[in-house]
Amino acid sequence: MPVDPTSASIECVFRRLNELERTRLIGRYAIGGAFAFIYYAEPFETSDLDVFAHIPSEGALISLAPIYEHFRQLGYRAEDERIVIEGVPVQILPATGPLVEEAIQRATSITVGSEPTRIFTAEHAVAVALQTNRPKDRMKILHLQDTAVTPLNQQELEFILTRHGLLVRWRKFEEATRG
Amino acid sequence: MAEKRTPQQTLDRVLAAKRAHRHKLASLPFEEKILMVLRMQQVSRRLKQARPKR
Repeated sequence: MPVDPTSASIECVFRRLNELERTRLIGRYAIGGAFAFIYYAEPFETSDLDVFAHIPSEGALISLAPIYEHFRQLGYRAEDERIVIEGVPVQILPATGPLVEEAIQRATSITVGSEPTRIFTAEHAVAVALQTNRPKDRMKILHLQDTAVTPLNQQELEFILTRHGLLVRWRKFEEATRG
Repeated sequence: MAEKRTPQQTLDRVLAAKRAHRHKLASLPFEEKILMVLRMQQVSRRLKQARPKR
């Protein structure tokens, strides 16, 4: 039977994520993906909450199994590559590459209810989407530009894009989408 | 009854109202936005289930 999420259950999702970090099953984490865009702009449909995290490992290979087991013991089920926490599908994604690492390190601290969490800055969310560069990622950028409450900090965005070799791609994106 | 307008004026008013509504949605607290997205997911699931199988 699916759970109907409420404000309290949303808060609980972030409590569970903070527990993961506290018990060191994951390192520092931050919300990225579609929900980072939704934080700054008009909500739109997406399938899950992407949580980018450092996954502790002894070598080059990582395993999400201990995280899944932790949630299974708490009574949450895994569904494909996601864990459904209080009715919210959550995807834990390992930090892959310097841009995502930086996005996690520089993420903005927010609170959901009374639970603290972190979310990619709008500029990092855009840079990560541009790096991934699927049609739906480009749509998210346009959506943010169109509906964000606060406009992107262009200077900060260009610093990030330059650091990660994405400035040429950004110029092409701007050229192609200029209305 | 509201005053008469040209089609272009009417369209401009509708677009302005839409922009204001989108801005209002973008300004909602994050937890409310999450709940809204979850409701969208539920509607999508129901629509998929209701779709006749070919």
